Amino acid sequence: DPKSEGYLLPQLLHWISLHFKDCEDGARSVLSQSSDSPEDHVLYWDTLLDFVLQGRMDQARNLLKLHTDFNTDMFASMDQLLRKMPLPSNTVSCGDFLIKWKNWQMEVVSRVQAGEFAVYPQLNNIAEILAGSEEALDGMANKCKTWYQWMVYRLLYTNPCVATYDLGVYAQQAIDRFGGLDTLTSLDSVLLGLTELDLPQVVKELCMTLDGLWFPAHLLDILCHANSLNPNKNVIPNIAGLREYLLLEYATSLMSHNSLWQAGVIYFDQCPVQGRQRLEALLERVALTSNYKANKVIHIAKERGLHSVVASTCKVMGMKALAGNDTGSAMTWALRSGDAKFTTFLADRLLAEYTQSGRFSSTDLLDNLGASIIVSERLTFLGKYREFSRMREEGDNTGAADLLHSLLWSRLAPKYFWITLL
Amino acid sequence: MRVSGGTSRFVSKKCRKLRWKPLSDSLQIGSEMFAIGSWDDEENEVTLWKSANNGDFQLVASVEHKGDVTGMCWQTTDLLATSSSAGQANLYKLEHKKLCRIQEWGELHGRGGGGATCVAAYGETLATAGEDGKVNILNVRQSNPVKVYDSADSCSINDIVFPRSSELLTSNMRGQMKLFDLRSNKQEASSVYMLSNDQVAINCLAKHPSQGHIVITGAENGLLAVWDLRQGKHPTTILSAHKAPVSEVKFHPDQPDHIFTCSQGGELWHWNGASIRTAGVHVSAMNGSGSLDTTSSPWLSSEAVKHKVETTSLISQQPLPINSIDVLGHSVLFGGDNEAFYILNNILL
Repeated sequence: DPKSEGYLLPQLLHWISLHFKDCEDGARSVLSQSSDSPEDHVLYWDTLLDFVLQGRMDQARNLLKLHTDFNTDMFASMDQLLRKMPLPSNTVSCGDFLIKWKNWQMEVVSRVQAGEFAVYPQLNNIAEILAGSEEALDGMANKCKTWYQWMVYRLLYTNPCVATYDLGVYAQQAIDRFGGLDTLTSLDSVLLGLTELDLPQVVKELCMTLDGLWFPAHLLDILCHANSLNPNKNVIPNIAGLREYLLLEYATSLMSHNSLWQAGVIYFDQCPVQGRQRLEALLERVALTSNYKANKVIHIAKERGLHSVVASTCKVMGMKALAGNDTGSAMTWALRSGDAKFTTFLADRLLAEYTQSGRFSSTDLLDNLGASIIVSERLTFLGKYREFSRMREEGDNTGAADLLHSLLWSRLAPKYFWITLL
Repeated sequence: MRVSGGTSRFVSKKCRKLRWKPLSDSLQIGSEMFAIGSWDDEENEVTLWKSANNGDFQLVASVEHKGDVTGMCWQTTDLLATSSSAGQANLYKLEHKKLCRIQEWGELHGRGGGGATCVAAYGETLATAGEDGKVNILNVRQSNPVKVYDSADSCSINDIVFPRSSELLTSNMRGQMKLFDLRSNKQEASSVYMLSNDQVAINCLAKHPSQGHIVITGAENGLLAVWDLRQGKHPTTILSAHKAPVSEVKFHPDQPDHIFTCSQGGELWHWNGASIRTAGVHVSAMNGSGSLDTTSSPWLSSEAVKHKVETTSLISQQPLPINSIDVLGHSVLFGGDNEAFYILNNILL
């Protein structure tokens, strides 16, 4: 996490210890084998070494205590060294820590040179590592599965106060030791990018290797929010643009899913620059499988002021209803969309039905048009004509005659209807 | 989201309808079960959940459902009926911790992409209505519909309820409600009710638990309307409620002075009508005689409702719509398009 203050190394150690847990398995195996001389266990020294490398001194010392020769001087000496090793913590400043640590390491070096651990080569090896000897550490590279593992181990014993901007150098050295840039896997590339604080590089790698954009989009979003909380530390330029780009791409991919499109809408809401236009374009493409879904789409569009989407959705639903011969529903959708042409078209259809069959099909619609009767002239005529025929049915001839008179005068009727009207 | 004394759980499917299973006896309090019907997925399902000892809920059974679950209700304590967007109705039985489909009525509603939109139950009778404007009356013992109203409505029907065993009430996308007399042979509605002069869809109906002539509807523009089916063609009261379309309205089954509503805008409200009574307002049925009728429901008193009803928002507003709500005792169950269900306990009534 390149954004943290304080020591980098403890976090790196924690990360390594989470991912490389073989030493724990080894310790369990050694402990479970109850014998008088646990050091004869195959994994004993390896596990001990792992604990030391990962800086887990307590566990290393526990394992050391199990050795049958623990009571000898050299073991006591080793134990003391392990116990005294200063570990970075937030309470001690970097300078103070470095002084203590250098003192400690000098102590280690002097003991090694005095030959205290000469009898036990494994102990000597451990001591060499503690002393930060490049040779010994280099030898450890064979134990490590990955370059970053070795890099962290090296740092622990050579430069525990490493700063974030130096990490890249060490990363390069570690990679070289492990076969160079050619052998990098995609995960390695991502980690390399992280060490060099090259965020666009990291994002690019992630996008290329991962299936979907979920991880980079959310990661960028979190970083962006963290960034906005610390305006002084604007380490990464153009992060907002990158974040929006990723969120837009991710949301677009969501919109094509038959169920997750609603989640996609929320993501678009979070994109201040282009979110609205993209949403407008994509919302129209959501498959309108039922009235219920269409109503949801309309509501989403209305909430965000996307009136063109509302109108077009209503029209699509109207056309669908018409295709199913449901003129009543089609008319309701047409009125909802406020589209005069469509309404006129449907009114014509209803009139045609009347001329053919002599009766109206959607009487409950026509009787209750209310305010929407003025959407289209044809509809007005239709409504009024329906009123006229109803009046005739009910026997209200004077009223009917008056209405007919006004209808003829107003010339609302379409030409094909004049004959029927007369 | 602030949940005081409740649980929630992600179910990875958008919830369309959630219904508490009726308790067969009072011994079952503490082991409540409920069913969820999903929608908008490639494979939809009906799932049954049961409360575990630690207050959490666990999945008891699940069964595939063809098409979206558009309506769901418990016919008896063991029989669950659903209506599907594929145009059919299904009946499931709960036995030995499994949901088995014991009856299927296919091809009830063909035209229109949405198929069947709702289902209601009364005794052994089921009714479904669809986007094609048809109404089917079914009997659980028969595999064919008992009665079909081919053109019950000239447009899509949104919800359906039985005010009485012999009556059926439907609401459509144009803001009209139609009452059908099931005893007569007529194919037309015996009464038609209008919400307003604008064509605003009525999304949901709720019938008063004991007084079948009182109905509350929720509309596409967020308005709630209280109706007295015996009086007039227009609502007694109109309340402006949510800003978004109302998804569902529910009366509390034991205390009908309380209703609960949820909306597409992610809101969940509790309406406390009891405060109308306690405020000392004269509650009179609108029968013109002006006499004090203490058995009448406070919901019919239009002025009182407008000013005196206490409304509480039970949760903070959700980004995604809440589609369905159900209430049992002191627990409110709801869920929606964020693929989770929530239960709020200890609701004060």
